[in-house]
Amino acid sequence: MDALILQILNGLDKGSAYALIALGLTLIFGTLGVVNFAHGALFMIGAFCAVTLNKILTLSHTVVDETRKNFLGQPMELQVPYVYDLFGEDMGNTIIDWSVPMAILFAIPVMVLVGVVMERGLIKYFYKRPHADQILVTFGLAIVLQEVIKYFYGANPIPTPAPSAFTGSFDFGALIGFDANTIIYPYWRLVYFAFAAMIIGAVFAFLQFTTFGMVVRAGMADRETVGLLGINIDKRFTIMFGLAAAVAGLAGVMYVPINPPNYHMGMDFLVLSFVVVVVGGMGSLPGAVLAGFLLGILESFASMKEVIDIIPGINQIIIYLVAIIILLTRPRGLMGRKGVMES
Amino acid sequence: MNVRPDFSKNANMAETAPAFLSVWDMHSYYGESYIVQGISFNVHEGEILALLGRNGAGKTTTLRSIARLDNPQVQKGEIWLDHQPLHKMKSYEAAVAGLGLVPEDRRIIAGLTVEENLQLAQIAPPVGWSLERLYELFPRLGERRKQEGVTLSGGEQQMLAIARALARDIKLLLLDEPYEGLAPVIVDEIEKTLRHIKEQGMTTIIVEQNAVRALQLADRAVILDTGSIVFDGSAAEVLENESLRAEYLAI
Amino acid sequence: MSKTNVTRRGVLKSGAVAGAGVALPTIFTASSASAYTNEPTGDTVTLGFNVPQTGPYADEGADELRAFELAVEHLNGTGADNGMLETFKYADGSGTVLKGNGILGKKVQFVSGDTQTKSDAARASAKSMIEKDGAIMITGGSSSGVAVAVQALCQEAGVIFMAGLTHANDTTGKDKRANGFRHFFNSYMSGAALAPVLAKAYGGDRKAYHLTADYNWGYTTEEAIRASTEAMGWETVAAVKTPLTQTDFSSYIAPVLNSGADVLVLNHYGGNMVNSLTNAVQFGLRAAEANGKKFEIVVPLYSELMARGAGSNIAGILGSQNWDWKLENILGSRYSGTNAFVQSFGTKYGFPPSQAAHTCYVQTLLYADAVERAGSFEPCAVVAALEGFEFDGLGNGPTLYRADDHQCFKDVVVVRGKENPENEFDLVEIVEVTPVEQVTYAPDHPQFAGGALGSCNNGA
Repeated sequence: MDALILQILNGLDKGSAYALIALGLTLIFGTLGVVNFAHGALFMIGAFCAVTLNKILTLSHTVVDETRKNFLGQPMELQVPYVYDLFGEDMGNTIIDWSVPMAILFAIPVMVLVGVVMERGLIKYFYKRPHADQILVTFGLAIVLQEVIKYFYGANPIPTPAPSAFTGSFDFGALIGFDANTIIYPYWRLVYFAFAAMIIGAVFAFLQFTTFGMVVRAGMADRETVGLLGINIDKRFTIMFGLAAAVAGLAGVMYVPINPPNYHMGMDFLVLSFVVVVVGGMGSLPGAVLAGFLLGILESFASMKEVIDIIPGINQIIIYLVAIIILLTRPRGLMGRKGVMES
Repeated sequence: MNVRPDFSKNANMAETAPAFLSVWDMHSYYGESYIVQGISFNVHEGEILALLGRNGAGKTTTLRSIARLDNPQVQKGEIWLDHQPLHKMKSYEAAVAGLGLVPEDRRIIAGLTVEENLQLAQIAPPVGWSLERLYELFPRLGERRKQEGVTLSGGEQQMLAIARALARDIKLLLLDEPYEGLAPVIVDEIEKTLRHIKEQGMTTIIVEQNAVRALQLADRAVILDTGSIVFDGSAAEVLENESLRAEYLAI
Repeated sequence: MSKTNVTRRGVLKSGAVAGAGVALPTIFTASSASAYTNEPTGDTVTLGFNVPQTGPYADEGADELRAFELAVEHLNGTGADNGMLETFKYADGSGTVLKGNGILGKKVQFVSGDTQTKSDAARASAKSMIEKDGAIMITGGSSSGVAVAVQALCQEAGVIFMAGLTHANDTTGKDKRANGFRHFFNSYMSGAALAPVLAKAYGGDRKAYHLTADYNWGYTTEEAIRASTEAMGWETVAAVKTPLTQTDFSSYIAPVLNSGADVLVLNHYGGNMVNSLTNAVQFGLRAAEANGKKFEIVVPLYSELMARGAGSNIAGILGSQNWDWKLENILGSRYSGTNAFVQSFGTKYGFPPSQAAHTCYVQTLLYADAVERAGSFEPCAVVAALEGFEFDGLGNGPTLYRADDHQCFKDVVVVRGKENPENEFDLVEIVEVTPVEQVTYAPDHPQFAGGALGSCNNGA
């Protein structure tokens, strides 16, 4: 039983990343009708916003310490972060410690800007083009973005830890009445799940309770009729692209303590996120979120030793298996609108 | 080009004053298909014009062209509404210029309540009738204002579609098959509404399969046959002319 | 064949896909009238450095390339110093015949190719360097899948392959080739070196849970560690294969604490290692207790890059390395050559070399020296010169290039992640060095069975 709960927790926190990325993808597809294969790259850029802020905060000047020697036998050069000079060592350490959550504020404007530039600079020329063209150009863009990041940051993963208050794990089992030490789960992963739930909630609240959101929902449902009512939906959709980019970026920012970010992480998530969108139903926001968590949980269960013993290799193919089954039996996805992608 | 088209060739355009709506030599395509093949007609302010013809004649295409939707494309011709060059505008600009299309199949927006559908119409200027006034005109909408728009009956959806158009301060109302699939008693109600707003000064073009009903409501009629105009005159004339009706309307 | 080495990118694949080397049949255009492939006729000779320049190991490949360039400088006598040429000795105590005037008087040039850490790309790149650039020796690489593939290609082509960083048994085991030579240690040696240290540190009554990367290196490492730890009394509770492309290992880590095991062995390298170790520490494994003992994690193969990527998570974790830049400082002159190389590399590049850099540098020198001793570039002559060759002063202590399998036998370094590293180049501390006798195995050992060296191929 505890093994099951452990895997459900794990599925939820994995699924959080999938759900957030799929949410952004569906927003873009539902509004602009664009299949955006660069969305994983947006996730990656968000993660590197956290890396960048960390690097900025740890910008140091060198101080030569004559009492110690470096590997060549010369006097050791120490790196002293500027924040130490500005705020003192303790405060400086605290600031650096909290760089990941602080990166949220840094990432939002950056991601919106990146999203808007992407949309106005490249994607808008492909609205009327067939999906295959869109896939090619956005995929190419993803590769370019990935190589740019690799140029500046190298190919190696860059560890960017969570605030020390949230590192490590705690006894989740004890919280829900199990024996001690049966269900231990890392703090930060639960924080990530809560964060994702908040963002998802905020997006839905925005769409449901604001006028702008109502216009966007109307435009997603029937773009032509919204035009008949005098509304220039394109302007609003561009803003939605920025919003979707911000959602993907925030998913990336908070993800960095879970796995050290590297230039390739966008691609790693991209394929799965598209499977999520297809399974959930292209154009359905609740479907994307639901499918994200569902597939995360499925993936977790499929990597359980007991399951692999019964069906070897299931952990590698489960997601694609589910996608194939859905595509064959119910192509519009779990919650997709009838007729979308049916052909 | 700002020169107003010359309609003196057409026998019915006797006036020297410019018409409220002028369509001049309009050619519309759906991709490669050539649907509306060079039509010209006028509508005067306060008139109801019935746009008639057999299936496939190009009636809906004409309305959609005037509304400046993405499909069909108007590749040649001009459309002037109250001195504004609609042919240079996109659909939302045309709507702001005073055009209101009530599309075939109503197009009530899913996921929005009755009230939200109406509020949506009032986001862009110019704002027309207030929601209260619309609920007076269509009491059944008032009763269901918090209900999801797509759950309304066919007749109620038609009323909502018209109310949505009136929620904007429009100069020209385009109705595409407003009576389709509706019970005769509902059709009566809608016809009453249309007469009412005509009295308020609305200019209307109505496309309708039920040609007789439309002709009884309209002042003038234009008949289309495979993309060209074959008749442009008074509605009464069509009602009286049996051979005309038989040939182009099959009634 | 196009000159650019960036071939098609797998559209929906992520990086680090090694897989078993796909043995595509290659057809080599026969060169006319030379005794062997790419016989150097002018006054230069070209070496081919096939390293990952793109993909997840690009940083390690860059370090390998730095080492190669340094080696070429030293061979040509154009470097700021002579690096290991000063310390390189033969078994009889005499110094290397390399004089810093090239190889056999010919100036050393090089071309570099991009393996992308993919077997097919690596083969294509090697083929291009051999056919179009006239490379007479191919070296470098960061993956066993790639090494095995490129080794096979070099055998067909008739050039020598001096392996770079490859750790799987197979490279000098079931996939060994006569034209190929490996200096880097292998999985068996890691197992043999680690087992006594693990027993001493953690006791002989341990239950191990293995997470293994699903490709040849993972399998041989798991096999080696299991064999050597089970021999000293450990029990293997579970061994789970993880996909090479996995990024989030949490679903594999989560069940470990309740599995009855008290040691987690991560048979992972590179990106896999960075992520699995990070996840393991995240889940509190380092702080946990099981079976009344403190839970421990073991990483059979360390790499400096991975240590950097995993950050503070490596603290206290035991593992093995082929070499470490601190060897001579800590353990003395047995490992002479280390400081010469570190000084030379550090002065030129500003930071100490990784073990990948070290093995590549050493392989280049070994090749050049073998050619000088053989008096010819002909592959079979070089093979004869390297087989059974004993040498010293290249940083690992006395080393033998065994004739039966073309594998170097030397001491193995056991390291542990530092609790408080001073900087990013000082992340591991040396625990002890296991003497070469304890890591040597018979040529027909079962972990290496299934292949045959064959005979050397001169090509042409």
